Amino acid sequence: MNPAEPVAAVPTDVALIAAWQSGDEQAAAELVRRHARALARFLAGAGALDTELDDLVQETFIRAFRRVDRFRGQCQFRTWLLTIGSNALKDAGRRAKRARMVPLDAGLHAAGGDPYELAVAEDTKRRLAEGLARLPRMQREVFLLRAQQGMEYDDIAAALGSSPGAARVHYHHAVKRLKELVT
Amino acid sequence: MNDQSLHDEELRALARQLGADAAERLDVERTAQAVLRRLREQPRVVRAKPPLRTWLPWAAAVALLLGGGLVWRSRQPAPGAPAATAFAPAGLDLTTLSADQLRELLNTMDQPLDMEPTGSGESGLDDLTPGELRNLLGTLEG
Repeated sequence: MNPAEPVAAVPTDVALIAAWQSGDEQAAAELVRRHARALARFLAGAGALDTELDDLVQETFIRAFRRVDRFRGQCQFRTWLLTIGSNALKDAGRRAKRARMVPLDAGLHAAGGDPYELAVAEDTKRRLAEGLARLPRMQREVFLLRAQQGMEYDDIAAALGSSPGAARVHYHHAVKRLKELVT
Repeated sequence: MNDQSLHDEELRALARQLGADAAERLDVERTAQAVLRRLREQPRVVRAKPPLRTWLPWAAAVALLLGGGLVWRSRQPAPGAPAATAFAPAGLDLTTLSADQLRELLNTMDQPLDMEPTGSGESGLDDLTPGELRNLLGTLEG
Protein backbone atom coordinates (compact mmCIF):
# COMPACT_ATOMS: atom_id res chain seq x y z
CA MET A 1 0.00 0.00 0.00
CA ASN A 2 1.21 3.44 -0.81
CA PRO A 3 2.09 5.14 2.51
CA ALA A 4 0.73 8.44 1.21
CA GLU A 5 -2.62 6.86 0.53
CA PRO A 6 -5.19 7.86 3.13
CA VAL A 7 -6.36 4.96 5.22
CA ALA A 8 -10.05 4.82 5.96
CA ALA A 9 -10.60 4.73 9.69
CA VAL A 10 -12.15 1.49 10.85
CA PRO A 11 -15.14 2.30 13.02
CA THR A 12 -14.98 0.88 16.50
CA ASP A 13 -17.64 -1.44 17.83
CA VAL A 14 -18.93 1.39 19.98
CA ALA A 15 -19.26 3.64 16.94
CA LEU A 16 -21.10 0.91 15.05
CA ILE A 17 -23.45 0.38 17.99
CA ALA A 18 -24.23 4.10 18.08
CA ALA A 19 -24.85 4.06 14.33
CA TRP A 20 -27.19 1.08 14.67
CA GLN A 21 -29.08 2.85 17.43
CA SER A 22 -29.50 5.79 15.05
CA GLY A 23 -31.09 3.47 12.53
CA ASP A 24 -28.11 2.44 10.39
CA GLU A 25 -28.78 -1.19 9.46
CA GLN A 26 -25.41 -1.61 7.80
CA ALA A 27 -23.73 -0.90 11.11
CA ALA A 28 -25.52 -3.92 12.54
CA ALA A 29 -24.50 -6.01 9.56
CA GLU A 30 -20.88 -4.98 10.06
CA LEU A 31 -21.01 -6.02 13.72
CA VAL A 32 -22.30 -9.42 12.63
CA ARG A 33 -19.48 -9.76 10.09
CA ARG A 34 -16.93 -8.90 12.75
CA HIS A 35 -18.05 -11.21 15.48
CA ALA A 36 -20.07 -14.04 13.96
CA ARG A 37 -17.20 -16.50 13.59
CA ALA A 38 -15.86 -15.94 17.09
CA LEU A 39 -19.37 -16.36 18.42
CA ALA A 40 -19.86 -19.57 16.43
CA ARG A 41 -16.57 -20.95 17.75
CA PHE A 42 -17.56 -20.09 21.30
CA LEU A 43 -20.99 -21.68 20.93
CA ALA A 44 -19.56 -24.80 19.33
CA GLY A 45 -17.00 -25.03 22.12
CA ALA A 46 -19.78 -24.68 24.66
CA GLY A 47 -21.56 -27.63 23.05
CA ALA A 48 -23.81 -26.23 20.33
CA LEU A 49 -24.52 -28.72 17.60
CA ASP A 50 -23.45 -27.94 14.05
CA THR A 51 -27.04 -28.06 12.94
CA GLU A 52 -28.18 -25.42 15.41
CA LEU A 53 -25.15 -23.16 15.19
CA ASP A 54 -26.45 -20.81 12.52
CA ASP A 55 -29.76 -20.32 14.34
CA LEU A 56 -27.99 -19.72 17.62
CA VAL A 57 -25.66 -17.15 16.10
CA GLN A 58 -28.61 -15.30 14.59
CA GLU A 59 -30.60 -15.51 17.81
CA THR A 60 -27.67 -14.16 19.79
CA PHE A 61 -27.27 -11.15 17.52
CA ILE A 62 -31.00 -10.46 17.56
CA ARG A 63 -30.98 -10.48 21.36
CA ALA A 64 -27.87 -8.31 21.47
CA PHE A 65 -29.28 -5.69 19.10
CA ARG A 66 -32.59 -5.62 20.93
CA ARG A 67 -30.95 -4.88 24.27
CA VAL A 68 -27.91 -3.00 23.07
CA ASP A 69 -28.92 -0.04 25.24
CA ARG A 70 -27.78 -2.16 28.19
CA PHE A 71 -24.26 -2.32 26.80
CA ARG A 72 -22.38 0.58 28.30
CA GLY A 73 -18.84 -0.31 27.37
CA GLN A 74 -18.24 -2.13 30.66
CA CYS A 75 -16.37 -4.76 28.62
CA GLN A 76 -15.62 -5.49 25.00
CA PHE A 77 -18.68 -5.84 22.83
CA ARG A 78 -17.52 -9.31 21.82
CA THR A 79 -17.28 -10.51 25.42
CA TRP A 80 -20.75 -9.17 26.11
CA LEU A 81 -22.05 -10.82 22.94
CA LEU A 82 -20.57 -14.19 23.92
CA THR A 83 -22.29 -14.13 27.28
CA ILE A 84 -25.60 -13.46 25.49
CA GLY A 85 -24.78 -16.39 23.24
CA SER A 86 -24.25 -18.57 26.28
CA ASN A 87 -27.73 -17.64 27.52
CA ALA A 88 -29.22 -18.37 24.12
CA LEU A 89 -27.55 -21.76 24.14
CA LYS A 90 -28.86 -22.49 27.60
CA ASP A 91 -32.35 -21.46 26.55
CA ALA A 92 -32.19 -23.83 23.64
CA GLY A 93 -32.48 -26.51 26.30
CA ARG A 94 -30.56 -29.19 24.52
CA ARG A 95 -27.65 -29.65 26.83
CA ALA A 96 -28.37 -33.27 27.63
CA LYS A 97 -28.49 -34.12 23.97
CA ARG A 98 -25.31 -32.18 23.32
CA ALA A 99 -23.51 -34.12 26.03
CA ARG A 100 -24.19 -37.29 24.11
CA MET A 101 -23.55 -35.81 20.68
CA VAL A 102 -20.26 -34.01 20.95
CA PRO A 103 -19.44 -32.38 17.62
CA LEU A 104 -16.33 -33.62 15.92
CA ASP A 105 -14.44 -31.34 13.60
CA ALA A 106 -14.67 -32.57 10.06
CA GLY A 107 -11.30 -31.00 9.38
CA LEU A 108 -9.57 -33.70 11.33
CA HIS A 109 -11.04 -36.37 9.11
CA ALA A 110 -10.00 -34.58 5.98
CA ALA A 111 -6.52 -33.61 7.07
CA GLY A 112 -3.58 -35.69 6.05
CA GLY A 113 -1.06 -37.19 8.44
CA ASP A 114 -0.59 -40.22 10.57
CA PRO A 115 -4.00 -41.82 11.07
CA TYR A 116 -3.04 -42.91 14.57
CA GLU A 117 -2.02 -39.40 15.61
CA LEU A 118 -5.14 -37.98 14.06
CA ALA A 119 -7.28 -40.45 15.93
CA VAL A 120 -5.52 -39.59 19.20
CA ALA A 121 -5.94 -35.86 18.60
CA GLU A 122 -9.57 -36.36 17.75
CA ASP A 123 -10.11 -38.41 20.85
CA THR A 124 -8.44 -35.76 23.02
CA LYS A 125 -10.60 -33.08 21.53
CA ARG A 126 -13.73 -35.13 22.03
CA ARG A 127 -12.87 -35.65 25.65
CA LEU A 128 -12.17 -31.96 26.08
CA ALA A 129 -15.60 -31.16 24.66
CA GLU A 130 -17.16 -33.76 26.94
CA GLY A 131 -15.25 -32.37 29.90
CA LEU A 132 -16.46 -28.87 29.10
CA ALA A 133 -20.02 -30.11 29.00
CA ARG A 134 -19.59 -31.49 32.52
CA LEU A 135 -18.19 -28.29 34.01
CA PRO A 136 -20.40 -25.87 35.90
CA ARG A 137 -21.63 -23.21 33.53
CA MET A 138 -19.55 -20.41 35.01
CA GLN A 139 -16.34 -22.43 34.81
CA ARG A 140 -17.09 -23.43 31.23
CA GLU A 141 -17.79 -19.85 30.18
CA VAL A 142 -14.74 -18.44 31.87
CA PHE A 143 -12.54 -21.18 30.42
CA LEU A 144 -13.78 -20.61 26.88
CA LEU A 145 -13.60 -16.84 27.14
CA ARG A 146 -10.07 -17.06 28.43
CA ALA A 147 -8.54 -20.07 26.66
CA GLN A 148 -10.45 -20.04 23.39
CA GLN A 149 -11.18 -16.33 22.92
CA GLY A 150 -8.12 -14.92 24.68
CA MET A 151 -10.08 -12.44 26.80
CA GLU A 152 -8.56 -10.71 29.80
CA TYR A 153 -9.84 -11.53 33.27
CA ASP A 154 -11.01 -7.93 33.79
CA ASP A 155 -13.11 -8.12 30.67
CA ILE A 156 -14.51 -11.53 31.51
CA ALA A 157 -15.41 -10.39 35.00
CA ALA A 158 -17.17 -7.27 33.71
CA ALA A 159 -19.19 -9.29 31.22
CA LEU A 160 -20.20 -11.90 33.77
CA GLY A 161 -20.83 -9.46 36.60
CA SER A 162 -18.06 -11.02 38.64
CA SER A 163 -14.63 -9.96 39.89
CA PRO A 164 -11.33 -10.62 38.11
CA GLY A 165 -10.18 -12.70 41.07
CA ALA A 166 -13.29 -14.86 40.94
CA ALA A 167 -12.89 -15.27 37.16
CA ARG A 168 -9.30 -16.41 37.73
CA VAL A 169 -10.44 -18.95 40.29
CA HIS A 170 -13.13 -20.29 37.94
CA TYR A 171 -10.55 -20.61 35.20
CA HIS A 172 -8.10 -22.54 37.34
CA HIS A 173 -10.80 -24.87 38.63
CA ALA A 174 -11.85 -25.50 35.04
CA VAL A 175 -8.29 -26.22 33.90
CA LYS A 176 -7.70 -28.59 36.80
CA ARG A 177 -10.90 -30.48 36.12
CA LEU A 178 -10.35 -30.62 32.36
CA LYS A 179 -6.84 -31.97 32.80
CA GLU A 180 -8.27 -34.74 34.92
CA LEU A 181 -10.89 -35.51 32.32
CA VAL A 182 -8.74 -35.25 29.23
CA THR A 183 -5.51 -37.01 30.27
CA MET B 1 -0.79 -35.13 24.08
CA ASN B 2 -2.62 -38.00 25.59
CA ASP B 3 -0.11 -38.70 28.33
CA GLN B 4 -0.19 -37.39 31.87
CA SER B 5 1.55 -34.13 31.02
CA LEU B 6 -1.14 -32.03 29.39
CA HIS B 7 0.08 -28.53 29.94
CA ASP B 8 -1.95 -25.38 30.13
CA GLU B 9 -0.73 -24.22 26.75
CA GLU B 10 -1.76 -27.49 25.14
CA LEU B 11 -5.15 -27.20 26.73
CA ARG B 12 -5.53 -23.68 25.40
CA ALA B 13 -4.47 -24.82 21.95
CA LEU B 14 -7.08 -27.55 22.06
CA ALA B 15 -9.70 -25.09 23.22
CA ARG B 16 -8.88 -22.79 20.34
CA GLN B 17 -9.50 -25.64 17.92
CA LEU B 18 -12.90 -26.38 19.38
CA GLY B 19 -15.55 -25.27 16.95
CA ALA B 20 -13.02 -23.74 14.57
CA ASP B 21 -14.21 -25.75 11.61
CA ALA B 22 -17.86 -25.19 12.37
CA ALA B 23 -17.18 -21.46 12.57
CA GLU B 24 -15.38 -21.57 9.24
CA ARG B 25 -18.37 -23.20 7.65
CA LEU B 26 -20.65 -20.41 8.83
CA ASP B 27 -21.76 -18.17 5.97
CA VAL B 28 -21.20 -14.86 7.68
CA GLU B 29 -22.76 -12.67 5.01
CA ARG B 30 -25.87 -14.81 4.86
CA THR B 31 -26.07 -14.68 8.66
CA ALA B 32 -25.75 -10.88 8.64
CA GLN B 33 -28.56 -10.53 6.11
CA ALA B 34 -30.72 -12.99 8.02
CA VAL B 35 -30.22 -11.03 11.23
CA LEU B 36 -31.21 -7.79 9.51
CA ARG B 37 -34.27 -9.42 8.00
CA ARG B 38 -35.36 -10.80 11.35
CA LEU B 39 -34.83 -7.44 13.01
CA ARG B 40 -37.08 -5.86 10.40
CA GLU B 41 -39.72 -8.58 10.55
CA GLN B 42 -39.88 -8.87 14.31
CA PRO B 43 -40.33 -5.39 15.68
CA ARG B 44 -39.18 -5.02 19.21
CA VAL B 45 -41.82 -6.43 21.53
CA VAL B 46 -42.48 -4.25 24.52
CA ARG B 47 -43.18 -6.64 27.30
CA ALA B 48 -46.51 -5.94 28.99
CA LYS B 49 -46.09 -4.97 32.58
CA PRO B 50 -47.82 -7.05 35.19
CA PRO B 51 -51.38 -5.84 35.89
CA LEU B 52 -50.42 -4.87 39.44
CA ARG B 53 -47.96 -2.30 38.18
CA THR B 54 -50.52 -0.89 35.77
CA TRP B 55 -53.31 -0.15 38.19
CA LEU B 56 -51.26 0.57 41.28
CA PRO B 57 -50.37 4.19 40.41
CA TRP B 58 -53.99 4.87 39.47
CA ALA B 59 -55.25 3.38 42.71
CA ALA B 60 -52.73 5.47 44.64
CA ALA B 61 -53.82 8.62 42.81
CA VAL B 62 -57.51 7.94 43.52
CA ALA B 63 -56.77 7.22 47.17
CA LEU B 64 -54.84 10.48 47.46
CA LEU B 65 -57.66 12.43 45.85
CA LEU B 66 -60.31 10.86 48.07
CA GLY B 67 -58.20 11.27 51.18
CA GLY B 68 -57.40 14.87 50.33
CA GLY B 69 -61.06 15.57 49.69
CA LEU B 70 -62.07 14.09 53.03
CA VAL B 71 -59.45 16.12 54.87
CA TRP B 72 -60.53 19.27 53.08
CA ARG B 73 -64.18 18.63 53.91
CA SER B 74 -63.43 17.92 57.54
CA ARG B 75 -61.80 21.32 57.82
CA GLN B 76 -64.78 23.16 56.39
CA PRO B 77 -67.24 24.54 58.98
CA ALA B 78 -70.70 23.11 58.90
CA PRO B 79 -73.32 25.55 57.60
CA GLY B 80 -74.42 27.83 60.44
CA ALA B 81 -71.67 26.63 62.74
CA PRO B 82 -69.10 28.98 64.21
CA ALA B 83 -66.19 29.62 61.94
CA ALA B 84 -63.76 28.16 64.37
CA THR B 85 -64.19 26.49 67.70
CA ALA B 86 -60.86 26.22 69.37
CA PHE B 87 -58.78 29.25 68.65
CA ALA B 88 -58.33 30.33 72.25
CA PRO B 89 -56.12 28.13 74.33
CA ALA B 90 -58.08 25.79 76.54
CA GLY B 91 -58.64 27.11 80.03
CA LEU B 92 -57.97 30.70 79.01
CA ASP B 93 -60.30 33.06 80.88
CA LEU B 94 -61.20 35.74 78.38
CA THR B 95 -62.63 38.00 81.08
CA THR B 96 -59.17 38.59 82.50
CA LEU B 97 -57.76 39.89 79.18
CA SER B 98 -57.52 43.55 78.34
CA ALA B 99 -58.93 44.96 75.13
CA ASP B 100 -55.46 45.08 73.54
CA GLN B 101 -54.77 41.46 74.53
CA LEU B 102 -58.10 40.43 73.12
CA ARG B 103 -57.35 42.26 69.84
CA GLU B 104 -53.94 40.67 69.69
CA LEU B 105 -55.44 37.25 70.24
CA LEU B 106 -58.00 37.82 67.53
CA ASN B 107 -55.34 39.08 65.16
CA THR B 108 -53.34 35.91 65.63
CA MET B 109 -56.23 33.90 64.30
CA ASP B 110 -55.86 33.17 60.64
CA GLN B 111 -59.56 32.54 60.24
CA PRO B 112 -61.11 35.47 58.39
CA LEU B 113 -63.60 37.22 60.56
CA ASP B 114 -66.02 37.84 57.75
CA MET B 115 -66.90 34.16 57.86
CA GLU B 116 -68.88 35.00 60.95
CA PRO B 117 -71.20 37.92 60.29
CA THR B 118 -70.91 40.57 62.95
CA GLY B 119 -73.70 42.81 61.84
CA SER B 120 -71.45 45.46 60.47
CA GLY B 121 -69.78 45.51 57.10
CA GLU B 122 -66.45 46.21 58.80
CA SER B 123 -64.11 43.56 60.00
CA GLY B 124 -61.82 45.89 61.91
CA LEU B 125 -61.38 45.11 65.60
CA ASP B 126 -60.37 48.56 66.69
CA ASP B 127 -63.95 49.78 66.81
CA LEU B 128 -65.14 47.03 69.16
CA THR B 129 -65.47 47.52 72.86
CA PRO B 130 -63.91 45.03 75.27
CA GLY B 131 -67.34 43.52 75.86
CA GLU B 132 -67.94 43.05 72.17
CA LEU B 133 -64.53 41.53 71.77
CA ARG B 134 -65.25 39.10 74.63
CA ASN B 135 -68.56 38.17 73.03
CA LEU B 136 -66.86 37.63 69.69
CA LEU B 137 -64.18 35.47 71.20
CA GLY B 138 -66.80 33.62 73.12
CA THR B 139 -68.67 32.78 69.96
CA LEU B 140 -65.48 31.67 68.30
CA GLU B 141 -64.62 29.55 71.31
CA GLY B 142 -68.03 27.97 71.18
